[in-house]
Amino acid sequence: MDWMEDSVSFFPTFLDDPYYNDIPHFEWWSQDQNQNQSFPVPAAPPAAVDPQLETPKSEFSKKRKLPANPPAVQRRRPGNEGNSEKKTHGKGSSGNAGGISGGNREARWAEQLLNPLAAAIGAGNVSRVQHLLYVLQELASPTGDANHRLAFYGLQALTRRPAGGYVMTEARAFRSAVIKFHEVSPWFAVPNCLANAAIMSAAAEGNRLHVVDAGVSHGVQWPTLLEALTRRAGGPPAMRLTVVGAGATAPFGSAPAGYDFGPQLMRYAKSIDLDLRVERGEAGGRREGEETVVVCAQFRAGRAGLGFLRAVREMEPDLVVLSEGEEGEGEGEGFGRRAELMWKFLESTSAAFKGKECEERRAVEGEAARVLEEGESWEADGGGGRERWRERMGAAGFKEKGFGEEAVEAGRALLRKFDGNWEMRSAGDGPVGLWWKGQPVSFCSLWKPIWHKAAPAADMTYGGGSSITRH
Amino acid sequence: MRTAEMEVDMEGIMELAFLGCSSNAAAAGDLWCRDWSPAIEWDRFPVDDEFHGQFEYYGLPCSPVHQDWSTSVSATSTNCPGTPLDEQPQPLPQQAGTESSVSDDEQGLRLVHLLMAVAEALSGADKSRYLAGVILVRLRELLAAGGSSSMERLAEHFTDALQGLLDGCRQPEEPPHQPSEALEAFQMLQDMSPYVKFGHFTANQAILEAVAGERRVHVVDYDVMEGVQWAALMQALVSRPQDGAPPPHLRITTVTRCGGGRRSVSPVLETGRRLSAFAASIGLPFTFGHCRLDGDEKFRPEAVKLVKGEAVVFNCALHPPHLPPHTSTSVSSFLAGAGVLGARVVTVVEETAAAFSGSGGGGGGDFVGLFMEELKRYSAMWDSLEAGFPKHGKSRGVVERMILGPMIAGAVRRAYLRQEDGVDKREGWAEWMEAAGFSRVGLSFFNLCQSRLLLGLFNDGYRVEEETPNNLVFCWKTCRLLSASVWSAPAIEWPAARSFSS
Repeated sequence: MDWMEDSVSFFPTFLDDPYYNDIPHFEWWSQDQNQNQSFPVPAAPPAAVDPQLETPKSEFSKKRKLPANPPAVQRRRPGNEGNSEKKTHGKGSSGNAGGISGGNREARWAEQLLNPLAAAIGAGNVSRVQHLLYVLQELASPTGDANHRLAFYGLQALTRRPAGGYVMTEARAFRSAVIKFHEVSPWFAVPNCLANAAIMSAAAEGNRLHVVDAGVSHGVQWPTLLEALTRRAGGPPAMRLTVVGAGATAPFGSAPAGYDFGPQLMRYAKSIDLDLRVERGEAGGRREGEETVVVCAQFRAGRAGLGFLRAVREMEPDLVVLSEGEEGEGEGEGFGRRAELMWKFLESTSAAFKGKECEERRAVEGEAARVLEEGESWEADGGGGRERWRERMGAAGFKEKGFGEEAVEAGRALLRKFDGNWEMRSAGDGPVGLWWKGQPVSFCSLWKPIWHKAAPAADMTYGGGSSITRH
Repeated sequence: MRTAEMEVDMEGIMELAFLGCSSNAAAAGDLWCRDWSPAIEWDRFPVDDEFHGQFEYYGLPCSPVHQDWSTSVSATSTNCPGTPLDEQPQPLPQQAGTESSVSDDEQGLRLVHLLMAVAEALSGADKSRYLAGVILVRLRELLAAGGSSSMERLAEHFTDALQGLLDGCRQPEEPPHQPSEALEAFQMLQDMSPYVKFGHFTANQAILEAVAGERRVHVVDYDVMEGVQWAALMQALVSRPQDGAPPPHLRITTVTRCGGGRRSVSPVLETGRRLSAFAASIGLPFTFGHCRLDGDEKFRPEAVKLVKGEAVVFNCALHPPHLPPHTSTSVSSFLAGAGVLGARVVTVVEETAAAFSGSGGGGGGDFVGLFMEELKRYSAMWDSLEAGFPKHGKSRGVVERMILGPMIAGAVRRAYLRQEDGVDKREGWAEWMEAAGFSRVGLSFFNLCQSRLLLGLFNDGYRVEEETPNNLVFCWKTCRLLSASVWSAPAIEWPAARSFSS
């Protein structure tokens, strides 16, 4: 499977599509193969303050409680992954080195202002709210370090300013942002890579492949898969890609109105002699003849509603790929937890964009900020990390399947190109986790329908003979 | 008889007030100064008792909670404090949507909120020095970019004081400036404000009343400084004839601090020489002496030479503006010594808590509360100087830099240590005095009137309140600044004291 090695080189090809000739060509990506020689995480505090972190004075205690957050200050890596856990780091500086790591809560000053503000708003404490607004307004900035940005987006969210995000972005800028983010950060790139590898395994045989796209890549996930399929023994299958609307309200799931990557993707497929049909639709419905069916739910299942998993089960898919955000240990709740999530994100983009400001970064961060506004229902339907998802998937009639060694290797190889604070952790037959600075960010998992149990769907038939032989 | 004294002594009073002053003080007769805009209206910062006096719940002048932030926090905002070097440098924001530059009041409010936030970040369970540092950076940016209004100059000193806390400067407070420069600035302060003189004339009047008719008067002074207070007392002793009798013999013994060797003594001796010369020039019999605190900073009454038949008076003026503050050990031992030596009166002049005593402002050793009090206090002092001398910006600047700035640094540091050590001396020494058995000595109506008159010569904004019969409080507008109280030693000690005479 060598298609993964030069996976990145397909982006320029994709971009050279004559129909979209005004897309900037991201030369730095193809030129700079050692994209990840060590560079400092540019989230360092101003020089005047920095020495304080390195030489703690005895009279100031470093242990403190923050509202809605647990007392533990220094997070340790959980050792509960089992002995077979393998960890891969990106290149460059190792995780948790110096600067502001995810575990050093004192340096996360934006949350120390935002969380009390959220509490004060909830309590109706007008004077406290006004005080914190004054202070936050002075410190908030969309172009500072991760703290300044978090203060900015947090302040917007708490003062109920209409959020921007992808839906408000102009189509060209949106596309540019999605592509660039995929190039500079493994946040979605690695789960997509793992998904593609798993799909390749599932589609190793068979003439027809049906992929249901409930993901956030807005088309960027697929060129690498298409290209890899052309190198399959026996040639590529005929492929159908159904883009569903379920869960499109999730952060990163939305796009500007009318944005459609279908035509361009189909043109690309044609250029590499792959028969691809892209359509809009919904999950559910029966398979068309002999198809390998894969449902790829990248980060949208949580917002897809209760019927989504049922509909997917009805399709009797050969494979379901599910990626979702992972919960950290003892994270707080409500706004505090969302702020913590945003913090992780902003730290990672600071590294990904190497501290530089650009339109794409602003668009990506603005979209991520939507997580700060999520309502409480997210907790019930989409939160809880992989433990909760295991329950949900089990209840929906799925059982977990492990990644093959090759798929995991593919993910690792890709991860090496990114900042050293990223890690991938996989243990045997479980999901593959993506970690940033020692904190879990997301997991990617594989599922197959359970056949011997009665499924929640009404008309589930046992005995779909041809289905049983595939596993 | 009292009334007659009042009429006759007007000239004496004037001399008391203006002794040592330059002609600038005469110009202080401009009483008109009402037209001043306060940077902060402290009355609008109500302390919410429901939250146990925590000053973080100060209210604000009305502005709606759901303010439209689109003009100030916009996606195109170029505010980027503390950015790493890679980030593109951007200018400070121009507030989109506001017609002109931010008003002084708005700027002042902003600064106060930021200062308060630093104090919050440095205290309490959720201490974060990191956050404090970040806010201080922003404060500096605002101050550098702003003008130099009163509020901004004041904020700069507080910013420096907080930065000092953050940097962990724990060295003992040294006067940072040349003593002669500090002295000059101190004299300017005396010219521009009755802050120092208030203590002098209140205490002197109480002393004069207590020793009327005595042949020998012995003043034991906590810290003679330049002796300005005693020159005024001497003048009064000479110009107020007691039934035709000659003026009494005056002895002054001053207490000097240990340490510093010869250097700490020579200014004292210099003061002694000057006072002696002055006494000679007005024909007052006078003796000057001094004694030292011992190694523990304790005052030992045995160190004071007593003479038979003299009336002993103790004077304790605390926290002089231009010198480092006194330790509470030295003060308590001094006051205790007053009891041992049977002092006829003990006059105590000290800083008060800035809030009214009944307002619940004394919420205990909470650093944010203490800090906001100091902010209020010095804001009042700033305002008082500006109100009195609006056109003397340069002189005020000197006083601010040389005197008030170091005072602010010291006050903030003490507030911080007080919060850390849990020691709460905010209520002043009155409690201690009562507990030690001292009796309150009522201040005369004359004393009160004299005070009012003298303050009025500077500016209408100064007030004096008689809070308890033995205590006058000096205020600027609603802010209490100093308290002068009068006590007498517990009677029970007197027989023991007499046995000390040499």
